[in-house]
Amino acid sequence: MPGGTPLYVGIDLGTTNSAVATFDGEVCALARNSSGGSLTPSVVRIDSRGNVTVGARARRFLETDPANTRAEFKRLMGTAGALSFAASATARTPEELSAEILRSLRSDVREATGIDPERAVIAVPAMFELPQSRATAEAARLAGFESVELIQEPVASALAAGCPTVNPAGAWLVYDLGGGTFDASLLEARDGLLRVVAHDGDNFLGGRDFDTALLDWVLGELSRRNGVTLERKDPAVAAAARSLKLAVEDARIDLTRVERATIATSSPLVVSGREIEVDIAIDRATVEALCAPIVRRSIEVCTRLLSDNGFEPGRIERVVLVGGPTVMPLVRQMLREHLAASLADGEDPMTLVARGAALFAATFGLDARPKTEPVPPAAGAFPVWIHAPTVTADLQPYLLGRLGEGSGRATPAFIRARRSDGGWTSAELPVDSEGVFEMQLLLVSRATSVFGLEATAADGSLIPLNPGTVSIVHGSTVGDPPLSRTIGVALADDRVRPFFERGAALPAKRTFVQHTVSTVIPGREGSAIRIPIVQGEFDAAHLCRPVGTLEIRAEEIGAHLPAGSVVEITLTLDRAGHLAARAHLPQIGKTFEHVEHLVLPDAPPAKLEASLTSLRDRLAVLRAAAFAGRDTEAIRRLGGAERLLVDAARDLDAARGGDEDAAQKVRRNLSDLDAVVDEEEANRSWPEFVSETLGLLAAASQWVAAQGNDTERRMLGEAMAAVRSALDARAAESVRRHMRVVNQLACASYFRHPKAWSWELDRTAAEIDRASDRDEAERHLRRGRDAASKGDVDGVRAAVQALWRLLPPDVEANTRVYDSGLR
Amino acid sequence: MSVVSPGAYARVLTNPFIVLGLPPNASPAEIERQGQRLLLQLGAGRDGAATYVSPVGPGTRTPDLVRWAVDQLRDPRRRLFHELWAGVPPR
Repeated sequence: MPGGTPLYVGIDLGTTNSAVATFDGEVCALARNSSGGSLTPSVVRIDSRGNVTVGARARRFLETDPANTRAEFKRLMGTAGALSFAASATARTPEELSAEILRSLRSDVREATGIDPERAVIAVPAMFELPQSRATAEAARLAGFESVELIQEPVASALAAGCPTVNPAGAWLVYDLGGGTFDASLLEARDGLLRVVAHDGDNFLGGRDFDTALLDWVLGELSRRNGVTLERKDPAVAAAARSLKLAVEDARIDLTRVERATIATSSPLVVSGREIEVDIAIDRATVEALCAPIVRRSIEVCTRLLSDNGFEPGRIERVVLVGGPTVMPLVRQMLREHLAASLADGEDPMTLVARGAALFAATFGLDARPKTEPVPPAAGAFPVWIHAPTVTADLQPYLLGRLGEGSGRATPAFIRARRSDGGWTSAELPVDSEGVFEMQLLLVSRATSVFGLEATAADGSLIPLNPGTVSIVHGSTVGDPPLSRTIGVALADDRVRPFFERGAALPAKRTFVQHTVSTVIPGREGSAIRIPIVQGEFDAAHLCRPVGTLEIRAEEIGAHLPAGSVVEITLTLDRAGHLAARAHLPQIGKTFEHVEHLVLPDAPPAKLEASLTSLRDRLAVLRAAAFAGRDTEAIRRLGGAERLLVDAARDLDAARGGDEDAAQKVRRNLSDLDAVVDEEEANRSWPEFVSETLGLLAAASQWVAAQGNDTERRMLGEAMAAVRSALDARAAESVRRHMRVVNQLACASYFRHPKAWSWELDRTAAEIDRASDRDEAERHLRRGRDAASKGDVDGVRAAVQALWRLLPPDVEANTRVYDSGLR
Repeated sequence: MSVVSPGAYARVLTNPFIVLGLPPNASPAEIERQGQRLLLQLGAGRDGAATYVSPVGPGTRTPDLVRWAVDQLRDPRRRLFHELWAGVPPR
C-alpha cells in the first residue's frame, strides 16, 4: 500500500437515495454531489441521444418523462429483466443502472479528494438473497471499481452509531426502514467484536408502501369526487398514478413537520381523455391511520426477531433508526410504545449506512487509493513482508513477518519490536529457517500503536528493515460479514443439506458427499443429475428459494452411472455473493462446475394467481377448522395470514397492470404465506405431533442413557428441556429445530450399540422391493448377512449404507423440490 | 474407526477446536487470537500451518476452514455442540 493518509470509501446504494462517505482514519465525511447535496437520488435517465443523467437532475424527469427515466431498480437487482428507455431505443439491466449511480458517486469522491477510488465497501440489505448481492458486486465492477466488499446495512448503521464504543457489552436493535426494504437486526457487542445475533425483515416493505397506501386513498377520493373508477391495475391510470406519487410523497414528508398538507399536481390528470383536477387536503391523522398497519407489520418483525432469540424487549440497550421514513413521528411513537427501548437520536438516519460502510472499509484495511509501484528499498535496508491486522479488538495480536531477498548482505537473525511510546518492548525473537518470525504485540487500549522493528545479525550488528515500522489500531471490529440466509442443496426427499448456515462467516467453502437418486444413461433424453442450490431457513426444500442449479447431462458424464453413485459437492461462497458449485464423480473421475440461472425466479401474474387461489382455499379450510374448534389463538394467527393475502391480491392487480416490482413482491409474500399455512396445517395435527415427539424423546433418552457419555447426557437433558418448552409454546418450528439435536445425540448412541447395524440391515431388507436396482440390492443384502454372521460390523455397515442409497425417495416430494437428483 | 457414522467422522475432523488446535475450554479471546494467528501463518505460506492433527487422522487447514471454525465458536449455542464433539475419544 502507498504511504500517506489512507482513503476508505463506503457506499449506501439505496432504493430511493444513495450516498458515499470517506474516512481517512480520523474523520468521516460525506462526499457532496454536483448539486451540493449528500444524497443522490437513485434515478437514471437516458435521452434520445443516449446521454445518461443521474441523481437529482434525472429525478426531475420522473414525472414528465417516465419512459426514459428509471427509479427503484434496486428492487429488481438479480432478476433477469432489463428496463427499456424508449427515446434511445435501449434497455439496461438493474445492474447497469446501479453502475451509473456508483459511477456518479465515484466521481463525487474524486471531486472531494482528488483520488479515483478503486476499492469500496457497499452496503446491501441484510435480507438480500444471493443473486441480489452478486448483482451489486457486478454493478461495482461495471462502475470501474477494482474490488468491493459488501456489508449488511444494519451492521454499517450500528458501527456508525458507535455501537460498541458507547456500550461495550449490550444488545442493540437496528430498525432500518428504507424506501423499499425493511431490515431489523439484533446486534451484540462482546470483547470489542460486533456480532449480528440475528436479523429479520421484509425485502418488500418500505416508505414506498406508505406512498402506495396514500396513493390508493387519493385515487379512491378522486374516484368518489369525480364519479369515476380509478385503480392502479388499470394501465390507463398508471401514467397518472406516477405523477400523483411524487405529490403524495411530498405531502407525506411535509406532514412529518406540520399537521395539514395539500396533495396537488401542477396540471390536471388525464385518464382516458378526461381531465381530473387534483387538489386534496389531508391531515396527519389520516396519514397515520393509513400508515399504522405498515408500521405495525415492521414492529411485528422486530418482536418476532426478539422472541425468536430469547430477548425481552426491555433488554434492548438502544434502537438505532435508519432510513428517511423513520423521521415520521408515528414510527418513533409506535417503536417507543412496543419495544420499550430508548432511541439512538442525534444521528442522521439518511447517511448512517454510508458512514458505517466507510468505517468498515477501515477495519478491513480496504484502502481505496490506487496501488503504486513498490518504493525501492532504502539503501541498506533489508526487505520484510509484515502480516498484521490494521484494526483489531485484541490487545495482544500476533504479528508475522517474512524476510525478503537480501542480496548478499548480512541476514537478520533476531527481531525485536519496540512500541513508539516506550511503554513496551518485545523479547528478542529468532528468525526461523524459513525466514519467518512471529511475535505477540501489546497495544495501547483504544488508540493507534506504532511499533519499530529492530533486526540484528548473528554477529550482533544492527540491520535496518524496510518497512521499519508497523501501526495497528485498537478498536472494535466486525467479524467476517455473516451470511444472511442458510444456503444448501435441495435433496430429492424435500430435505435440505445445509452447506452454509445463516450467520456463517464469509468467504466459506464446504464439501459434502451425496448420492444420485436415479441411474444416468447417455443417449436417453433428459437424463441428467440436477443439483438445485437453495437459500432459506426452512427444513422443507420447496419452501426455500432456488438460487442456482448445477446440471450435469448424461452426455457430459459419458458413461452409465448407476443410482446411488457418490457425488462430492463443493460450494464456495465469497463476500460479494459469488457462488460456485463443483461436483466431482469419483466413479468416473470427472469434475463439473457450471452453475446456471443465478437469478430470482420469474413471477408471471398467471402463475402467481394460481398460487394465490390455492393458498386462499387452504386458508379457508384452516379458518373453518379454527372457528369450529374455537381456537382463538389460531384465528388470530390466520388473521395475520389473511392480511398478507389481501395485500398480495392488491399487488397482483398492480402486477397485471405491468408493475414488475409488484410481481416480485407478490412472489415473496406468497412464498412466506405458504410457510405460514404449512405451519398452521401442522398445528391442526398438533396432538399427533406431540405424541410422536414424546415417543422420539423417550427412545432418545433410553439410547443416550445406555450408550452415551456424560457430556451427551447433559446435552440431551438441555435439548429435551428446550423441546418441552417449545411444545408448551406450541412452536412446531422450534420443536423441530431442537429435535434435530436430540436425534443427532440418539443416533450417535444408537450406532454405538454393537448390534445396531445388524438391526438396520433387517429393517432395510424389509423395504428391498422398492430398491431402484433389485439385483444390486440383493447382492448387498447377501454381503451384509454374510458379514453379520462373522461379526464383521464394518462389513454390515457398508452393506446397509449401500442399500440405503438404492431405496427411492418419495416421488411426490421430489417434484416439488426442483427435481433434485440427489439424496 | 469402527462404529462412527460418516457424519460423526466429519464432525470430529472439522471440529472447530481441533481445527484451531485449542482445548474445548478456550476463552473467546483465545479463539479470536488463535484464528488471527493461523490466518497470518497461512497467508505467509508458513509450513506446518497447513495441516493439523485430529483423533481421526490429519486434516488440511485452509483460511476458509479457520474462518469458519472461529465463527462457529462465536455462537454460544453452536459452541456447546462443538465442545461435545471435541471430547470424542479417538477410536
